[in-house]
Amino acid sequence: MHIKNNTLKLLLIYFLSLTIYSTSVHSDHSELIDLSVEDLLNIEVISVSKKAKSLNDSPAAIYVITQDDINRVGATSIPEALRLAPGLNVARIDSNKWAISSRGFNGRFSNKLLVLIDGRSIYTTSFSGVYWENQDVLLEDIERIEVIRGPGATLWGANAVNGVINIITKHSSDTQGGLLAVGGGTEEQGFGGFRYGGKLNTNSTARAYIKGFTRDSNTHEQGGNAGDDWDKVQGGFRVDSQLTAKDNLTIQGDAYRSIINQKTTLAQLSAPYINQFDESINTFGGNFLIKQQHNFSSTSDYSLQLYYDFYERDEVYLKDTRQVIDIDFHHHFSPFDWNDVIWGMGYRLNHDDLRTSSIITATPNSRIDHLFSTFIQDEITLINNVLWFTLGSKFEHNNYSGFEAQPTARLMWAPHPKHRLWSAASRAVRTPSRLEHTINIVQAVGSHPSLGVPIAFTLTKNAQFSSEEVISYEIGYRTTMFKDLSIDFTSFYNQYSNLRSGEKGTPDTLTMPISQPHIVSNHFSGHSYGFEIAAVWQMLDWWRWDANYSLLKTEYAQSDAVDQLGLTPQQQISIHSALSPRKDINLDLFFRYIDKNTSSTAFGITHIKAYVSMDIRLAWRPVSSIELSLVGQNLLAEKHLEHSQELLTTSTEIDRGMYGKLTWSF
Amino acid sequence: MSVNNISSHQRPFAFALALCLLLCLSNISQAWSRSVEKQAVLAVLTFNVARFTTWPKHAFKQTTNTFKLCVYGDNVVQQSFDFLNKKKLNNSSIKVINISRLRNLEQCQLLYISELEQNKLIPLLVDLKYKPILTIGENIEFLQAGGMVSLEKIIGKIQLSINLAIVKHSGLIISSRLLNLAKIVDTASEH
Repeated sequence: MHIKNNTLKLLLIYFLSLTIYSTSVHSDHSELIDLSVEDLLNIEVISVSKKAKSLNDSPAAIYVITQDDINRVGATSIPEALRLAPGLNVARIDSNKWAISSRGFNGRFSNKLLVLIDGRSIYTTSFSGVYWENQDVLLEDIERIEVIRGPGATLWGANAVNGVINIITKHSSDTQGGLLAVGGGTEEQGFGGFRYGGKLNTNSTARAYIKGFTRDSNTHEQGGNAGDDWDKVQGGFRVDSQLTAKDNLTIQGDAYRSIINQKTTLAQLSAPYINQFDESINTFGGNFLIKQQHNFSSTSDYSLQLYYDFYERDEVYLKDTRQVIDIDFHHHFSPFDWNDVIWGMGYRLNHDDLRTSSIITATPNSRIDHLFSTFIQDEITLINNVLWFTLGSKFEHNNYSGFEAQPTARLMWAPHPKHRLWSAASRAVRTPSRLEHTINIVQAVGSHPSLGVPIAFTLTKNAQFSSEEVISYEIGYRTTMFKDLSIDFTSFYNQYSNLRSGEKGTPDTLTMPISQPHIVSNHFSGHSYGFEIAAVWQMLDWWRWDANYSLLKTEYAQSDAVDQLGLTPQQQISIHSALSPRKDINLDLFFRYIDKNTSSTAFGITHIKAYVSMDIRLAWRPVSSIELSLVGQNLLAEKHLEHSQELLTTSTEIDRGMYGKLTWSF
Repeated sequence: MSVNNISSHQRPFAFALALCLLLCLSNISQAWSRSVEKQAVLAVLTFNVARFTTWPKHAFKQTTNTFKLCVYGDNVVQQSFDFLNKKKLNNSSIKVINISRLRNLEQCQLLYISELEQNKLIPLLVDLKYKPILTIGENIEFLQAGGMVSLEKIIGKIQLSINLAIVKHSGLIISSRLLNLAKIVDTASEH
């Protein structure tokens, strides 16, 4: 095996040369203090190792994905960027569908994770979850993505049971000038984005963008083309105005249209009881947001935000149209020297219109729901700069489960500038969705074991279905006590009750085929525990490692719960090596190990094997305004299976891909 | 195609690649070795700006012999100022105060703000206007918001800019030796 020997030799040469040439940046103050101001102003400075040294001050399991991280791993969508975060399971179902969850319960219709883009919730109450394929921004315009594991309900609201994802785009003053990004390859067949930002007047900046892509289909598990190719066009804008020294206004909006292809697999009430066909789904949507902020002083401010969001998704078995109007008010102030209070209130109107089919029926077809909410949180300084205690709760009223209270108590201790310890206890709920209260779905049609006649298994609505609940305990520790290494450790214990179950009802023998209902109920319960470690090591000034490990143990009280709820991977490892051998060259390796998982589907449970995967990106900047990059995705296997959807499609394997990209800033 | 087949063809390429890597890496040492970490330089420069500044008597209240240097920033920024603790500055002893919340700022003689959103910075600096607190930030927007001194990294070097009108209003005096090295910015007309 010469190639192995050669590879080893190469690696040896590489690492040896690194040791020889590695030099450390001077950061010794004693040398600098003797220099004159003139000398100090003439010295060449670099800012490299911040990520490995800074500690987050939030008493929560927070992980920040920066613009630089997204760019350096060559992510082409929000879900792919989220693979960088610990504790999240990101599983690609096919080219245009993802299952993403925090700390378990993963599925396409995963419902315990709240996602916001610039303060706008993208969680749909149709099924309690996120249509990830509908959600996009110009990735170059993302400032950062904050991933908060654990309950975030107090500040963010219901459904933040196991986590919150905050996608925050850049202020328009930070995106001045032009940006053109184009590329193409095997899976990412073609993509392009153009953004231009400018000054409207002395106090206002703005930007507008348009982007589009076409993505190739993957491979069906049984072989052959999975027919899941898709394309999308999206455009948007953002305007930021400094109205006065104390008032800011932001107006932004986006609109998109997409054609999504899939091989639909559905139950059918007549022989052969299963219907498989190629489908082309038209989906479009848009949003408009306006936010005003007023600062009374550096410790007192308020914000008022209003947004409108709509989407339409036209599938053969269901056409889902939804409009959301949301208004939110937040006020922050310090009544005393030792505390910070933030409180707010909000109202959300949800209007939907569903066109159903023989497989999916809704009563009524159109419905308006109201959500009223209020919250208050007080951060109390117990010892100045050392110990803080946070107490808060959200209260809300929705049309499905009525009144809900979601309190949290958190303690943050900074015994030393290089150490942070925190702990939290919280309650959060996942409120019922439109589906659970008002929709019936024929999941499969089989043969009755004794009578031999066809029987339809139906997931049946239940207006009595109440919220799923979690009581969560967390502890965390962050340190930078080792040189150029930061470690963030979080451990959690979650107690779940009232989890969704499907209870076998009385068969209706008067229909043909016979109907066997599985009534949506709250009979499952369980607990989960585990820990997550995120480490950043600035090994050399030009070589950084980010490594994450997550362990998750989920135990249900009922033995049949796993058949309906599935099991999310117990262990996950990700390693990102970010290397800049020269100032104009970046070489990134992004390796992942994902443990086996169990997907629960209408056709039974699917066991998915553990897998490893790796992306590599090489980028070169011939001049500072132009970057050329070459990216290989999922390089370790020709194709691999990550997740199987609950309903509608059968298992699809994700193909290996390659693409090239040119980015020009002007 | 077997693995062995590939290797015999690729051996020359492997050595070429190794050579390239070595050449690449020899550039690295040159590129990085002359550089100094930004935060360390900013802390030392802050100390120097304070050395060239004179405070009015009323700025010190009772504690004349303690110079309170307040730092607002993450732990990296705060740690870079640690070495200034107990250092002598014009007959006073420096006490570095790390600020995690923007309160009780009037105790400070010098306030260093590493990063703060413009919409929070402007009202903060409006509150501190005319007060004898030397405010130092890290970009020119800091001066536009009403700050006094900016230490901004521009193409690998730190540029010192001073908003002279704001400094004068506060009763502070900055030595002409320092002013000669600085870019003078006047935003008085805007505020």
